[in-house]
Amino acid sequence: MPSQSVPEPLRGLLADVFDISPEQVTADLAAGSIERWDSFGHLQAILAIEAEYGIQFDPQKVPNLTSVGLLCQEMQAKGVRFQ
Amino acid sequence: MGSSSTHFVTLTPDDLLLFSEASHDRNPLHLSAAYSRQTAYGRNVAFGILGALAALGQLEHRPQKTLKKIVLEFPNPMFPGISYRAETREGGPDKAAARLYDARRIVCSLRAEFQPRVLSDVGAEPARALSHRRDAAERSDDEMTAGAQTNGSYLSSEGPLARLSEQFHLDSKGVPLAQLMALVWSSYLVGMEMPGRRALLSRLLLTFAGFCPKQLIAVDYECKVQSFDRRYYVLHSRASLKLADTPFAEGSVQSFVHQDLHAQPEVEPVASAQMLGKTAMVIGASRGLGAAMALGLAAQGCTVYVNYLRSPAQAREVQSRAGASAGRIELVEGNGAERKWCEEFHQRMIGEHGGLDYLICNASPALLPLWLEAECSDRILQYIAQATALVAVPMAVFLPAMKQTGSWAVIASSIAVCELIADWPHYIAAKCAIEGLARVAALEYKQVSFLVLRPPRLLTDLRNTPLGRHDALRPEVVASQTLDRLLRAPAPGQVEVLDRFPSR
Repeated sequence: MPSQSVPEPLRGLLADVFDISPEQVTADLAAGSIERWDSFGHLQAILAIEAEYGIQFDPQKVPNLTSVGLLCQEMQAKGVRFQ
Repeated sequence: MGSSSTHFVTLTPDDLLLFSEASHDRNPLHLSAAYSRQTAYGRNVAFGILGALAALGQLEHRPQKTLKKIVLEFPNPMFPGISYRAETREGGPDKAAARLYDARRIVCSLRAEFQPRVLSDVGAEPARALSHRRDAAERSDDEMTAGAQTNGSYLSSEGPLARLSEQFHLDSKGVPLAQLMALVWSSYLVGMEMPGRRALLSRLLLTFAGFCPKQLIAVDYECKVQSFDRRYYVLHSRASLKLADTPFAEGSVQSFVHQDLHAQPEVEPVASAQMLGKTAMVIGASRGLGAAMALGLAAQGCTVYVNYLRSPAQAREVQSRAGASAGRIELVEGNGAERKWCEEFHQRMIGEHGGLDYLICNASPALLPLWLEAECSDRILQYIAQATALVAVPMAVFLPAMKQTGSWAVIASSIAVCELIADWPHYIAAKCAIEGLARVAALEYKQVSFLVLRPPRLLTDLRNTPLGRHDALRPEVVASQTLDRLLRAPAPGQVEVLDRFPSR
């Protein structure tokens, strides 16, 4: 997923979770690259996405969803359609 | 552009006591060393809200303001005695943010909005029965399902609350006493009521009404569970506070719930008479892998000396679980890292059994992540010294007494020595050190077989965190695999590494 294609709502949601500007939320943004994306921030992001999109990630896969791009892919695999 | 500044704050054990007195939050995670040692944190954790108050105290003065909204997050635990860096960011008269850092790790994050201070005379309330708990509620998972509610009346202890306010200059920072009471109430709610004893506050959002009472009066609170996510043991609740039937504050609370691991089923040991009448010493046996090893050895007919330090209740539980085992479990309290204690016990062992057949070195300090950076260097060195001593001293004292061919020394290392984890430098260095000790010991004690265990992440109290417990292996599985190896032919003077375990 190219860096410009993170859907706007998801960008806003993750920007809020990680306390950064929406422009910083690209597909390449990865766990550990910003101070708020530690294990706590990771769980907060997972819970916020699940609540917003009505999906549930597989807990076994969650530790490996370590970038916005990977999150997007897994969301699409769960049936989320980005417009 | 707002201004920013950096300060340092350190919480003390007295601060924790004062906060507890003010808030009525007596959750043992914050006050009981014996209890907190059994958790992933290893020692008393500071109240999150107390850390937030310290952070609020670093903001600019706003004597004409009160809080309108506050969002608090606690990504990592705080402890008394550690100097935290407070970074503040002022966004004008009505907005501010602050974070507390332990080196690069955020331990508390705060975002606050302010509004003009409107003090109102709510009026004296008729006397009412307050319902503060003395002990934290013990709630089962089923008592925390969506829709579960708790409510009551609450009033902080005014004297201690005023002292807290003065200590952090909170009134002049835009947090009058009644709003401070709402903040400390949230700590009481989570730590004492919902979820109660097993809780750790992780996120709080509170919005306040446009008025603030001049005097401190009791509030009525309601809390309703929105969801309890049993995958991660995260509880979401909605909460509200009323003053004389007038809404005063409302918001959402997120807390982590400590999962009780002691109900895990045991793994059936391999049946054998080979260990009947033999003697084993397990250093660090009151929980996790050490406890599972002790039970497994006892089931095989060994006399097992279970060493523990400051966890007598858990050690007794291990002893009682041994029940009708072929062998027996003897409890021995002491610090395995202390030469004097090891030598005294060594003499007893020689006198009673003539020597030792199995030495299991499992003890390790609680693991809290640290980055390899200047602010953490003292703690890294301290950890390595403690963790290494817990293996080096028992090996140095007990190995000479393991004269028989067929005796084993088992060293609990970790797969992390191969699969490195960036913020575990202290843990990995210590595990590498103890593996090195085992290799050197094998050169000298040629009658002993050495077995180094490198299990993956284990589901123990020390790893019982929301994400940490997934994919974690039960210690009973590792113990069973280890016993299986001990029952086969020894390899005197050799060091064998056991790093393959069945999944879950």
